[in-house]
Amino acid sequence: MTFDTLGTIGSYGLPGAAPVSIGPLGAPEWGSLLRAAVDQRAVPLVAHAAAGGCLETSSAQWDELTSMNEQSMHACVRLERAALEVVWVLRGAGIPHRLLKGAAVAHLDYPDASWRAFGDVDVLVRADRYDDAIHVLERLGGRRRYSEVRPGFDSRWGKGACVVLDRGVQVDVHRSFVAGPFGLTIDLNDLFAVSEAVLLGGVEVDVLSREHRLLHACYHALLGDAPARLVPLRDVAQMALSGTRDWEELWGCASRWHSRAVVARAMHASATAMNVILPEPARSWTVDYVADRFEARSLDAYLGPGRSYARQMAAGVHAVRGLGAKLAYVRSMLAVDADYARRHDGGYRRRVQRAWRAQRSAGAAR
Amino acid sequence: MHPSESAPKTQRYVRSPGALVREGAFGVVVLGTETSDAVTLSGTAAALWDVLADPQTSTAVVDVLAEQFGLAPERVRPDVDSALEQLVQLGALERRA
Repeated sequence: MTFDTLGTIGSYGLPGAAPVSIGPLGAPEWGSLLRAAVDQRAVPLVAHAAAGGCLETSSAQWDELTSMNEQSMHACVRLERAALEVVWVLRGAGIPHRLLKGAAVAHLDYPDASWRAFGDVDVLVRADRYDDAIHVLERLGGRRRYSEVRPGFDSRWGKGACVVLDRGVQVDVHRSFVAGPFGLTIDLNDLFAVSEAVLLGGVEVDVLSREHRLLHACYHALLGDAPARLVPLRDVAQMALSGTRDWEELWGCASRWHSRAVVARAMHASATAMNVILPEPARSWTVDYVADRFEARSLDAYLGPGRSYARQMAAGVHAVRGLGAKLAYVRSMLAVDADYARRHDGGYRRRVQRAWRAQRSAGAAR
Repeated sequence: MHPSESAPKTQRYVRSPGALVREGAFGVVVLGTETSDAVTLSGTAAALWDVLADPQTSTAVVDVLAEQFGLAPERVRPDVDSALEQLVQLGALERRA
């Protein structure tokens, strides 16, 4: 089962999406579809497509898909309970936050929350309270999945950290949308200047504004996993095609964040995967916008051959303003916590070698 | 006496605002406020949940489901009372005066 076929099914329900008619599928193709749907966390989308008559199923296939979707929804409500616990402790500590992705997008941007599955809790916290947020979650019983590059790095330059609560619930605490240069050019104050709310279990939980949610979806779809995953691509199309957007505000924000190329390319990738036509002006962006030098160099660190976390971190130096800050950034990447270097790079010397190779590789690509 | 049998017949049942819910072809997945395990309501239980989109007395729920399933109310009442009580215990429903 190719990604293209799952993408076709995954476009079901999008405004303007081409009518879909798939199936019936034999056992091998059905098994392949379900495995792909589980891997892409797209079981609810497939279930809705089947319920809508766009995916023909046998009685046994329908029962199997329905059972899998039921389990997916069990997981989602448990994660929403965990999200409420996280929000509760953050509020109690007076830490400004925004619930990201998952539950926020499911309830606010899809026809119904049952369309969108998620596998963890994502929360953005204000950078100056980032360390406090980690500490309150650790007091809740959480433990960091990965050690910090160097004490203080994450709160100043990082994307965030993964904290695993008891029962195995994963909470991604974000300082920014992504690591590397595009995460460093976001004006994080913008994200806390405005907000919306989602109602979870009778509690109003702060989330990003509509425009910031779409921007985040673009970052996640383009700069997250490689190759891009289906649900993040669907998120971009879902938000771009549903409801009203302040496109001028969105593009202006992307411009301030030096990330118009991220938005343009993400929307292009989403429209291609979902086989939809985006509304103007988004459609024109995907066609007309040409990345500037900073964007092109930065995109290469995320998308080019030899892309890696090390290259993204090395490329981040170009996004840091001021010589003093640049020196501090480079020093932090090189003079890492000994335990981090030992676990991630096999030692300090190898870490320096990798960083040097990453920077040389980035230079050669320009 | 079953707890719900002692409840005043004018008492209404409402969906708990704190419950976390998803609906689909599987029925209704509900995570009540008093449990860490979600339950799936299907068949008549899902129909009961649907009736409680608005606050209802147990008698009203019985009457609607009896008509829906073509059964006598007295045949339906024990199951409805039991389901309502279980859902209250789970924190999926609340009783309101």
